[in-house]
Amino acid sequence: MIFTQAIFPIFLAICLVIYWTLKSNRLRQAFLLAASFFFYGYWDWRFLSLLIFVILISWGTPRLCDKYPDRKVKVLTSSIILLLAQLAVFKYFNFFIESFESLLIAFGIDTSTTTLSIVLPVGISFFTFQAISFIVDTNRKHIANDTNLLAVSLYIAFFPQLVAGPIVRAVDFIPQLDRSRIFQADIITKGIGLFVLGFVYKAVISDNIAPFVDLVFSSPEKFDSSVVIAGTIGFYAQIYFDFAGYSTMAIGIAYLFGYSLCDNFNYPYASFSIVDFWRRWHMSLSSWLKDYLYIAVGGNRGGELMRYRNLFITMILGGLWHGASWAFVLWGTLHGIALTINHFWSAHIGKKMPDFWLTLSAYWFVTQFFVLLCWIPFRSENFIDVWVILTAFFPFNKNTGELTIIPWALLIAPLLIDTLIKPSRRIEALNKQNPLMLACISSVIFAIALVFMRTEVQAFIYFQF
Amino acid sequence: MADKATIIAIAASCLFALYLLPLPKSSSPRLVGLLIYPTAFFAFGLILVKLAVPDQQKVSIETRVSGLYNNVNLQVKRFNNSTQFKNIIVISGGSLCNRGLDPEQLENELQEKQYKSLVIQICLPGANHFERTNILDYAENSLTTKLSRKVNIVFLREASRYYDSVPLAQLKNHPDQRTIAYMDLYNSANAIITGLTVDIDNEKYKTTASHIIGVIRSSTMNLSHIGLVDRYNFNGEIYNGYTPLSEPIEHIPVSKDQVQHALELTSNTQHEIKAIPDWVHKYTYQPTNKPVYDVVLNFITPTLHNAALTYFFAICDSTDIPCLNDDTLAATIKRLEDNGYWYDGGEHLLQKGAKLSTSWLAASLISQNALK
Repeated sequence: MIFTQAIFPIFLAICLVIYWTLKSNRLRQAFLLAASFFFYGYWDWRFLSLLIFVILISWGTPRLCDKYPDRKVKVLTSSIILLLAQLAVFKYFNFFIESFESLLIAFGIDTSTTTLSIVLPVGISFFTFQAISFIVDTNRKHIANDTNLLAVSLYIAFFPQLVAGPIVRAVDFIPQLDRSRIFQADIITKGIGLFVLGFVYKAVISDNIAPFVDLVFSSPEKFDSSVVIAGTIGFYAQIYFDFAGYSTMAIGIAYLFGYSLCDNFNYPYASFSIVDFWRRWHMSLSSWLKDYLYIAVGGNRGGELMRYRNLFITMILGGLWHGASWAFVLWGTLHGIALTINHFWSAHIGKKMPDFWLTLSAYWFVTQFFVLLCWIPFRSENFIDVWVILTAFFPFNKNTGELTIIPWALLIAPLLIDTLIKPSRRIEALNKQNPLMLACISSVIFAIALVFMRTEVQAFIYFQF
Repeated sequence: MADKATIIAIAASCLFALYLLPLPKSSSPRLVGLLIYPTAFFAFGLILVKLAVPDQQKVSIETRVSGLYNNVNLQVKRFNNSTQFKNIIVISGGSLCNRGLDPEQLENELQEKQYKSLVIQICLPGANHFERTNILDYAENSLTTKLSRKVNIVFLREASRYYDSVPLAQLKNHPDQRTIAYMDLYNSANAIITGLTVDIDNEKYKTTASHIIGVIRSSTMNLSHIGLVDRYNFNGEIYNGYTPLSEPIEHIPVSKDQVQHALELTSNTQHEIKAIPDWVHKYTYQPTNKPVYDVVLNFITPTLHNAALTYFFAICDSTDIPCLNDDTLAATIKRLEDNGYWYDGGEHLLQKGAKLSTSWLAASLISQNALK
């Protein structure tokens, strides 16, 4: 089920009515879990077994560690390997087989390996990471080892964040389950406000940019350089509004049930450096990678060079997390290099540079232009297209392909105004001033926004990850 | 695309800007207020849009639909700008007349015979009762309110066997641009009542839950204006309700038996009577109370499709409204027995066949004394 699908508001309304009618906290949690399973099963009920498998591993691991303390390391390692293995099978199996085959062919060895037709379960990367977070947090004693099955299940399967995040940390979510949720009108109004804002991001802006972007990226060689550049800027805007839209809607829906999820975006296109960008873009993944991967591979220990190495490894794996393709590896690698340079610059050169409007503008431009260029391999169909699109940015490029009408206003205006107004912060402020009025304004915006959505449902970009 | 994109960009920016409104401080609302006020504001938003775009079917991205509306406006303008027209002929139908009648040729042939007439052809392939009604209502409203002088208005209603028997046929699947456009509140209520009450013999065509869900989905999208901009056509194209076809879809030869059976149907007064659904009688083929028309005639575009012919004659037998079913129809069918006239083995006409068929209609209208 997709948040912008016609059935979703009906599903949500029914869930909210039943949920808030139930008196017992435990009953509410059980109902939310059932609703979450329905939400996931609506796409393909067979993959519910995978979700349940992940839940059971997460729940069972700390209990086994308690029962067999002398084998704790083995149990922990096996569980995490098991979780990563199911992710590897569903997400990376064909990628590794094909890459291995290409490598053998490069060495002149003829192969006839077989790839499998594997359907990628929606949200597998997200709920697997949450499961790992739970296991590690219990081991770190941040969460009780005897957390009950219902709480673990709801933590992993809670439907607003199940398929595309934010990647919620056990330590942030599970304590919320201990206290009974109280119907607080100002929390609900905040939820309505955020849900509608996310809807505008996704259904009004991102989905309407998509046809132009798809057209350009489907065969960039056909188009004039100006069109290709516009298409790349289009994707720069589209992916932000798509993913931030989903996250904002997810956070809003969670508020409607009285739960709070972590922020995932903080206006990343206003950042002045790559380090700053990663503190604002997909924040839940960045902090997850930092806490569970970067620190695990060494973190800041071992001096500056080791720190850069660890950062680099984290970003490459972060790139691979997005999808089983070398394009994502390249995307992660580029960001890894940029982060390393950024840290080096800050430590050795940047401190001596004065911060005034000209340098800040230059920092902003360099950062955003780099981010824009990195989206090219992220979105392109293959490396040939990456090269074709990159050449459009060359200053003396004389590529004069097909011209088409470029929707410049749509590509730039919402991005600019969103970054200037920062509506999610305004919602926060308005909710403190007059929550009922915020809900009313959001309702009018929602009614008008329906007019601008596409007739056919468009999936979220991050569903494939 | 650019126009739409600019409108969307401006709208999105304005929606963001709404969050900048300064609000007076107020405490946390009560549950009742939280339910009532946002719902009221949501309804207010819907009404705002409704007021901004009153006839959303007129702006459909499906140019054949919006083009028909634009054509009604164009023809009314033509009539008002000229004093020569003595008749307006409104032709409503489906794919048979869409492929088989050329409105320009009809006008020219009638003009040659001194019957100066203007033709508004509202023929659309796959148009069910509700879609036809929707466009026809618009045409009737224009003819009632926008004509500069009195004129003889003739209404030709094509028999529609399939959609009369399976009223919700187009609504089983996912809503498309057309079903969303015509499923307004009035049509939706009628469609559900009709779909649930109509007695269909054939199991295959019975109304199912998915038909009703289809109506509700289309209706919800129509009423809430979901995707209106996506469905919006900025081009203002004109469509005159005629799509000439030059090549047959595949080689399906017309058999002698087929022609013979069609001719028997046209000559035999004891037609193979087929039950006409009650709802069809009520809504479609009975004399209308609308004063807009001076003459109402049922007709069928010449076809060798036996079931369609049988149904047409059954209608003629069971209503008081005159039909264009004289001997000239049989003669035209006889002239169309050659394979080269047909698009799909005797059902829809090619352009060559449409010429004959249109000539028949012109002659038949004159012989019925329907024109001035």
